[in-house]
Amino acid sequence: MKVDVIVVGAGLGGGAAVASITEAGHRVLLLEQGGASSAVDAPRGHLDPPAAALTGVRGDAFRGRRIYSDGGTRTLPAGVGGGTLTWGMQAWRFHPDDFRMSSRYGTPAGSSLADWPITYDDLEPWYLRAETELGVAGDSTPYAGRSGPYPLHPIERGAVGTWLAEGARALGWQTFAPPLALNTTPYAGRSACLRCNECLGFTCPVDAKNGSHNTFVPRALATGLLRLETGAQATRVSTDGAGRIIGVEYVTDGELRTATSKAVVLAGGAIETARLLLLSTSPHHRDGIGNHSDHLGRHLQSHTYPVALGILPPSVHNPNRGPGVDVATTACNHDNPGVIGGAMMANDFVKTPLTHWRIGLPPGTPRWGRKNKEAMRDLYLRTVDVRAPVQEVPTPDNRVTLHPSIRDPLGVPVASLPGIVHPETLRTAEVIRQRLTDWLAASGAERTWTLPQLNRGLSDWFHQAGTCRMSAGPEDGVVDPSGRVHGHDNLFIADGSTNVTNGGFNPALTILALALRTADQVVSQLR
Amino acid sequence: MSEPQSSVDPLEILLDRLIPRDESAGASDLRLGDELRRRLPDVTRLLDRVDLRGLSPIEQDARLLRLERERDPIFEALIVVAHELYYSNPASWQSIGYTTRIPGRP
Repeated sequence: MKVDVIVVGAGLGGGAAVASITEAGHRVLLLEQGGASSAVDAPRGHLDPPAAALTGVRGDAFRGRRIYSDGGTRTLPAGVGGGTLTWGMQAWRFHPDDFRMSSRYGTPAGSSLADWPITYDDLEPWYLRAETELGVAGDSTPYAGRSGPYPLHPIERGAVGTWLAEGARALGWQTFAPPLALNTTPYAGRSACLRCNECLGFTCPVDAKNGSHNTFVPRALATGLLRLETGAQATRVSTDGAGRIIGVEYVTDGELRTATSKAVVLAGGAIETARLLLLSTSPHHRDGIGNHSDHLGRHLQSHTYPVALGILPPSVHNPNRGPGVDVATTACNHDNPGVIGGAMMANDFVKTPLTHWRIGLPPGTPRWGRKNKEAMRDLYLRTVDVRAPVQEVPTPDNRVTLHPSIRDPLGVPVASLPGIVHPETLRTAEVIRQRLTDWLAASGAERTWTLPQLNRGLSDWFHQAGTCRMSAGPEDGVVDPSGRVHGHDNLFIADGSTNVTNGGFNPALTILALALRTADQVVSQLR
Repeated sequence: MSEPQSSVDPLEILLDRLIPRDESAGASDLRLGDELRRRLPDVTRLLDRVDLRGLSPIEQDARLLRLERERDPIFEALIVVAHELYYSNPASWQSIGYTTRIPGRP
């Protein structure tokens, strides 16, 4: 089948792109290096992938992306749906000030903190469309304007969320339901959430968790215009003798193939998309495609997560119903004196017993033996955890490069992530860590403690962004405000790599809104 | 009558000090030994150095506390892997109050 567009990556951005482009009547080839596993039938063991990844298991147990960082390699699951197969479903809009971080806070030494070339208002209609097409449950967005309601009613607040909301009120903080890409009622032909306890890190046993695999990709397949190839790893963006983009080289079943198209959309995520472009050298692109101003791969950022834990008073019964996160506040996303930005704060997902053993026990608890067992028994249901995705201050030195010697199974250099988190990020994280502790204390926790900041390394497994920075002009980034790579009329990026900054929120909804907007540009061009 | 310790797998003795049986199952009840050996082959090197057979429980714990204080790398890994296997096993979940609420699952 001849295709009009090749899309690389079947996660949220790639899924949105293929749905929009096929429904506009164009033929698309979607390349996904992972498989097309059924969400409902996926492994559910707590030591099976992908749940195990959340407990810090490293190694080569998983088929998927292999990344070198922090002194070792990590292999992450891949597949149709990408991260949305197992995500925590938090579907946040960024704060309007998240789009103007440099104007608001300046540019700290050693950083590349910058404004976006677009505003919240530019993206707002796409946020609404993203919420509607994905299926997001929520009640309000108190920090920003919205032009329409959420399509699904919010998750019901439980006893712990109510207890935390009271504490927040005492501090003068407004709380609301975290927006979740979750069917709180049957929606789009799929059932409602069971309120089970296997959510973050697991696929949904009743397919109530909304992601690319059960929304956008099926829509595209239904058009008859999508050819989905799984187990297909893109190795190079192809160009002609003049340097113009003509398609993608990829390997499937051990065979190198080349597909050609009128346009290419990259949606492999901030690490893999940057890696692919760095690999795509040619006489016209000696340092990789899109690397005209040495921004490609730079500004890698994620979130630094301060965490505070506390013991619930006996009067608060924890029913321990999933997904667990049911109260949030944006009181500390900005306006924290003396530091840059901040973060949304919320309670955490229900922990598996293993995760609780790893990170949930109070300091001083013996790590083994009778007293450790007693602490697990006494405190599992009485421990509450609040956490916050502090937006990281990007730097040009935090980046994706090609590892000089480590290769993936195809013999292609893996991505390497040199760099450390900027000191301003750690200062902000420290302030937010205190705010989290304040929240638990104001709520009446019997005891509070925080998790230490373990290292300053870069995230190699969640929320990565920034490596193909969006900019008004080619000198300041990789893509233009529409998601098109500067200097190429037919190469687009639809993933978190274009984020200039990453907000104090989980970034998926912003990635989706931008991907829908970029796909609209692709469709316009094909007309 | 309990089995003499000399005939018991020394790994089982060690695991039962890490995760003892009390009002809920201990490590040996869940038969974690074989899987632990598979995931942590180095444990045999630890067992060559540490034999808890014939010691009282207090003496056994003292020996293990010394390993912990010394940050013995194999013992450190053993603590983690043993608890990973124990708390990922549904048989351990009820005692701490965890249920999945998924039909057909604990």
